[in-house]
Amino acid sequence: MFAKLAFRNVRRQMSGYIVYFATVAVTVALMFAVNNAVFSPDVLSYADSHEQAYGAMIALTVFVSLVVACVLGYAASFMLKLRKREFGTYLTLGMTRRNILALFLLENLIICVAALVVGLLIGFVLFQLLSIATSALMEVDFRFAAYSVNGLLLTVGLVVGMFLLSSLLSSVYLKKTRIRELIYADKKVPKARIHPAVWGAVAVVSFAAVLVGIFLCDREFQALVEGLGDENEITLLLFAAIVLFAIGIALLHYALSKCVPYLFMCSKKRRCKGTNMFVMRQMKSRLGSNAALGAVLAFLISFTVIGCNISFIIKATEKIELEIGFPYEIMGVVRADDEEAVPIPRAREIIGDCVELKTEHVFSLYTTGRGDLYKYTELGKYMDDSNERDRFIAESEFNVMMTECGYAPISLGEGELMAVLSAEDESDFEGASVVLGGREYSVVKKETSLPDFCSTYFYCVAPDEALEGMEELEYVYVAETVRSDYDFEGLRKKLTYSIEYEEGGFTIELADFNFRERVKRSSNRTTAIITVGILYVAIVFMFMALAVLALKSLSHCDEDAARYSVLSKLGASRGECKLTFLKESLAVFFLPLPLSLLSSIPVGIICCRVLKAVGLLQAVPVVISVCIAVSAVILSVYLCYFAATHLVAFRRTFKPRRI
Amino acid sequence: MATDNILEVVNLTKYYGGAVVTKALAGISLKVQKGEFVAVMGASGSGKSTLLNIISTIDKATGGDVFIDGKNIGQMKEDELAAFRRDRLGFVFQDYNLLDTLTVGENIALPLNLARKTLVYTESETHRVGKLLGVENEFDKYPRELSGGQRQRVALARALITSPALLLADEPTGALDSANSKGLMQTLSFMNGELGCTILMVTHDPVMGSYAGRVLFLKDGKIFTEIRRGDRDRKEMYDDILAVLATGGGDDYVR
Repeated sequence: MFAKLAFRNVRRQMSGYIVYFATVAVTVALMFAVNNAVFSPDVLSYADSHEQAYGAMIALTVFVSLVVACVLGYAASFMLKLRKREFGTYLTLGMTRRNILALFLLENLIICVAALVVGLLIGFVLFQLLSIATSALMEVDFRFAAYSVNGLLLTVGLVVGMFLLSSLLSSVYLKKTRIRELIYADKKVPKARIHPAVWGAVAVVSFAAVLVGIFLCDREFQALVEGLGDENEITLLLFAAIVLFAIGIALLHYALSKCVPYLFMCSKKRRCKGTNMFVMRQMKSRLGSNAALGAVLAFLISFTVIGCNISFIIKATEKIELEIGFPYEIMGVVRADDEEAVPIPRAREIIGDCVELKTEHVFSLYTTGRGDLYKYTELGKYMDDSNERDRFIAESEFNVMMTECGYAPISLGEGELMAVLSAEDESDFEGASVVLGGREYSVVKKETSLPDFCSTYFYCVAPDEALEGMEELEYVYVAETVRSDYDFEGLRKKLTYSIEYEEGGFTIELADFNFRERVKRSSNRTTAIITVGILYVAIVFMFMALAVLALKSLSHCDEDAARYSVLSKLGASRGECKLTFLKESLAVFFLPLPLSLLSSIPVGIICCRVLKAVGLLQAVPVVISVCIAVSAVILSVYLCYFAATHLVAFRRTFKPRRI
Repeated sequence: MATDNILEVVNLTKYYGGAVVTKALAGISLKVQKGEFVAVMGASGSGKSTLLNIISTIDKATGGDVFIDGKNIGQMKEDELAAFRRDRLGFVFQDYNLLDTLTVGENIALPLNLARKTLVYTESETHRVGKLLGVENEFDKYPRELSGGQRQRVALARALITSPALLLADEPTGALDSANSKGLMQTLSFMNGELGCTILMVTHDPVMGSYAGRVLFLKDGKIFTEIRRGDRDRKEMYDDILAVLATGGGDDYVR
């Protein structure tokens, strides 16, 4: 009998169950896709050489599963709340609590199994889409990604686990709650125990905490990039800053939920116009009782915004970083006095045999044997490295590379030098000068955002005549290939040489040449996984936030229907009621959004400062575009979801009722 | 139509249902004069609540006309009906229908807010009706914090604040105990007698019906009889009501 009743209930209550079903199905799909990704053979082989990254992926799966578990639990409690009165009625008719529990669990089981099957099917497709996205980001051809049994088992296990946990909690609730509470479920309008002004103060303090968190993040990122301080300490401080920011955002929205409605109610005149009082009281009731939920949602949306920004910025700046770090496809620096290394002429032969070249150059880096200018650099000031020598390159040779890479050639005047650094730092060449060829030359210009032609921290460009008679320190080899799909690994092996350390009894292999395509493939793999990983978490966060908001909005429909019915009877027109309902929905839905979207601004500022510090000023406009685009996309998704939820809630609240 | 008729119902019919048609009202005609206190009584299913819902513009009639204060409500559009309910009618329901998210004061003031009256006028009127019904000390409380009798008085205050042409009460004592019921009916009598408020009340309780000046009895969607109080006292009116119910009001009331 119960099975028949359960099936009939599910069919009859499809409109209420559909949201629950959709939430569980999409959650299962998201979990299945990420679990498959983590356990896929490609990722496992990547994990062999990147332990930390794999650890991060496992942590990601666990974290996503926790968030998902919370949402599934919430969805189950939403269904229970929806059916409270019905269960109370069953009890009054003589059903036992055990019967009710069996009925509820059976209905949930039907929905869960159906949602699991549908979710897995969607997950199959979603996983392939993830693979397509990852392949595109890695710039490799897509091939059908193999599914993982472990991933499937983990997903099913998590869903079953959550079902069992929510069943246990539901059974405890149904066993303990009195029939009267189930049937009547008196609506409590709690009186504020804490004065709204206190919450206002909490909001101000929380906002300050958010700002401090942002400031600390910026400071520690700068320190990390500049290599100043202990890396572990910096990482710890960075983590603390992020935690402070997260707590600040959540607490800020909690406090705002408690005090914002009172701000609107300050004006008596505004309160007493039309249905404003009703809207404000509804807002106060809904926001106040869901303050914790609002805090969680603000946290989820903020980190969605931050995650999306960071992942897109990483990907967008990767290309620029590669162009600056590798202006040529093949680059190498060989010391003039290195007898073990592959000499430049031999290297040229080997490279010429392996790949067709478009251009090829060999330049010399000269030295005075001293570090007269090096001591003006930041590293020179803080590190006592007396072995470090100044490097000079001839202006004509430098301009050949500048021209080929699309930059305007430079023109040095008499007695002028240009200092070139690999990144922006506190190097100050005020008063820096050196005697070359019996003549004094001064550093008149400092460049930090040029391509890395010489693979070195610091060198100076000098007029050709200044370098006459100087010692050659290193040879710089640069070449551009006709095609990028050549065997760079094989070529690298041929250019590798070994150095034996007899004292230590070991041999090391060195290669003085590197290949842009090789670096690009490796970096693509890493950034693709990071980008897709962060984006995925961001999407899961966003979806969870919106699902919870939708469930929360729909759970109030019956109460709201009764209130709006009274409003209509008292003389509010249908249009007025619609507008009132819209205002109420907007306030509840959009309170967590604005400040969360504004998280794009500090992310953008911090990223710009980091990029400037690492010499990637060209990427700053990209960062700004990404931040604006991410905020716009998230806002659009939010608006669409709000429109859909509002439509469903409106239909349920204002459905024609037989009087 | 006589100019002192607040309400005139002409041959009102109402049918419900699609596959199975139910006749709720089978051609009712009645008039209520200004200052009258009229009760509509009948057994369950007699059509009394349907009649009240149509008169209160919450439901639409299948046939016939309803004139309130000279206006044919059947010809009004939805927005006009909303404004009409707001400005010309007052409602008291069995389950109070107070908004639980608003305080007592805000519930009472709501009809004036909807009518966009000035703040000063709204506040003064809220205090006036609040004092009249003895709830002026409860303005900051929520409905849940009041007793049933107090809630119904708040509902009554809300109904009266717009000085309606017609006050409609649907089983106003249905959720109250006898003491509170008596108190509410005495208040309604006061409003009718001293303040000249026109009241149309639906009830199944002969005790409550005895407070009215005229009682209409419905059976199977039609008015089958009517009694007027005249100079008689409430006890005699009550006995009369019982007698009518015993003869034709339904098995519930036969002793």
